[in-house]
This record gives sequence, structure tokens and C-alpha cells, in this order.
Amino acid sequence: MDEMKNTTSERFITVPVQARNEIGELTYYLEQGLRNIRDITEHLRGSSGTMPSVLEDLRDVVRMTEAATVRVLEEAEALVDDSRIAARLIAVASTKARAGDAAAVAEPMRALDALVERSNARAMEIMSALEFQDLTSQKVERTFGVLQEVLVRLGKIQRLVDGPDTAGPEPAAVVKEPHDSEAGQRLADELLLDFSGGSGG
Amino acid sequence: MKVLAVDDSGTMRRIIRNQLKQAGIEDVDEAENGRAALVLLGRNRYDLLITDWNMPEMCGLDLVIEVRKTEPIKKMPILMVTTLSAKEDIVTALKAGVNNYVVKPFDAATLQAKVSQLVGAQ
Repeated sequence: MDEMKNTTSERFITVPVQARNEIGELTYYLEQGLRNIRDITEHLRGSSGTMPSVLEDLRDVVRMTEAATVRVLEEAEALVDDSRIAARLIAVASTKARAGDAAAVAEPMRALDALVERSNARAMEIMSALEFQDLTSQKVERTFGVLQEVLVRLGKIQRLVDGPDTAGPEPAAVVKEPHDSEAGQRLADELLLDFSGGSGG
Repeated sequence: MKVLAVDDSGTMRRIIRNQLKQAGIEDVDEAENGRAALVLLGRNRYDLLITDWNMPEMCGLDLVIEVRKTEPIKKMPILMVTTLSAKEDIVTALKAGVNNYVVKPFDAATLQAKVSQLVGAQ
């Protein structure tokens, strides 16, 4: 038999030594269980916090892909139209040349010149539109990173439930969020002026 | 004029190359990260370095820092082309020695204007 102090009432009660050990053990497991629940809640909170940004990134990928596709399609269609106009202008120029009207050839040739210039600009527009590949791949990479992080958190929860010997993957690297490019460019230009005193270099 | 374009995305390198070509700059070498760029910078003389920020092995910021302490390339003009557009990122890049900054996605006119600013400032 042993004596144990009751801290709330400051009175002494008597409990068997075996029961005292069992109460101590029970208290330890209850505290351990509470700690595990707190850890699980923390991991769940972390995962649910990152998931909205993943969903937004994936929506951005869809939006950017669609916008680029529309831009490329529009420019490609315009290029096809331009090539038809070019064929007509060449036919007119050939007819005038065959008729020996050298002065009249100049007009369709000038129009052709402008058309070539415009087609060139359309080609550049298509190339610029293809930048989406770099931007969307960064977003997809970030999504991989977040999913990997969620996987690690799930692994930690699994270890808390199944025991410390359960294996789990390593945490993923955090990637910074990109911003709106036009606003970003304006900010960059303003900061450049501050840095260089407006020299532009 | 000889330019070194550094980006881990082959698509972006190709776009930059084509946009420079449009501006009359045809001599463009490419590297896929900072480390590969330093090798080329050690072998050849370039008038302009255009670099992305986020790249594997060696990022653009580390490349800029390395260039700024390496003779005889420490004073070469550097244009950073990146998706990072937060104030602290831009300030970090400028403090590291970047001469100009383009935020992706960009159009040909923006890149060409920045390049001519840098080359004209030499």
C-alpha cells in the first residue's frame, strides 16, 4: 500500500501501489493520445491550407492554355487569310507585268510588302503566345510540390496512428507564387528607375 | 552583337532567340542553367546576358552574383526574364546586379525595348 496526495482537496487517500502505476501508465497514454491528435490536426490544417492554391494553379493552367490556344488559332486563321490575299496580289501584279504596265505593278507590290510585314508580326504573336508552356509547366511543377507535401503529411498522420516505424516520403521544396505579369513589369520598371536614377540601364 | 540566353525551358530560349532575331540580333548562344552559362561565359565573349531566375542546378540569381564578382565579365549587361514579380524579388535581383528586368509572360516589343536600352547604355 502507498499514499498519494490529492492536490485539489489537499487530503490524503490511500491507493494500492499497483493501481497507482496503472493510473500513471493510463495518464501517459492519454497524454500521448492527445499529443497525436494535436499533431494530426496540425497536419490536416496544413494540407487543407495548401489545397486551394493548388486548385487555383490548376485553374490557371486551364485558363492560360485556353487563352494561348485562342491566340494561336486567331493568328493562324489570319495568316491563312493573308496568304489568300497575297496570292491575289501576286496574280494582279503578274497580269500587270505581262501587260507591260510597270507603274501599275508597284501598287500590288506595296500591298504585298505590307502583308509580309503583318504576317511577320502574326508569327511573332504566335511565338509569344507559346510562352504559356513555360508558365503552365511552372504551375504544374508547383502542384507536384504541394501534392508531395500533402503525401508527406499523410505519411506523418499514418505514423502517428500506426507507429513510428511506418515509412514516409521526404518533404517537398516550397516554390514561390508568381504574380500578374503586367503589374509586375510596371513595378519592375518603377524599381529600376529608383535604382538607376532613370538611366534605364 | 553576341547574346547568351539562359533558361531551363527550351521553349522560352527559342522564343527569346526568335524575338532577338526579329530585332536583328542573330548571334545567340543558349544555356539551360547558371552552371552551363558560366562555362560558356568562360569560353566566349558576350555583349549581353539574358537569364531566367528559377532554374535547376544553378539559378539565375546565383549566376548574376557569380558574374558580378568574376573578371573580365563583371560589368556585362544582364537582363533578368522571370515570372517572379514581387517587389522583394525585383529588389533582390537589382541589388545582386541585374541591369534590367522583364516579367513573364512578355511580348516581343518589351524584350526588344529592354535589350536596346541595355545595349545602348554600354
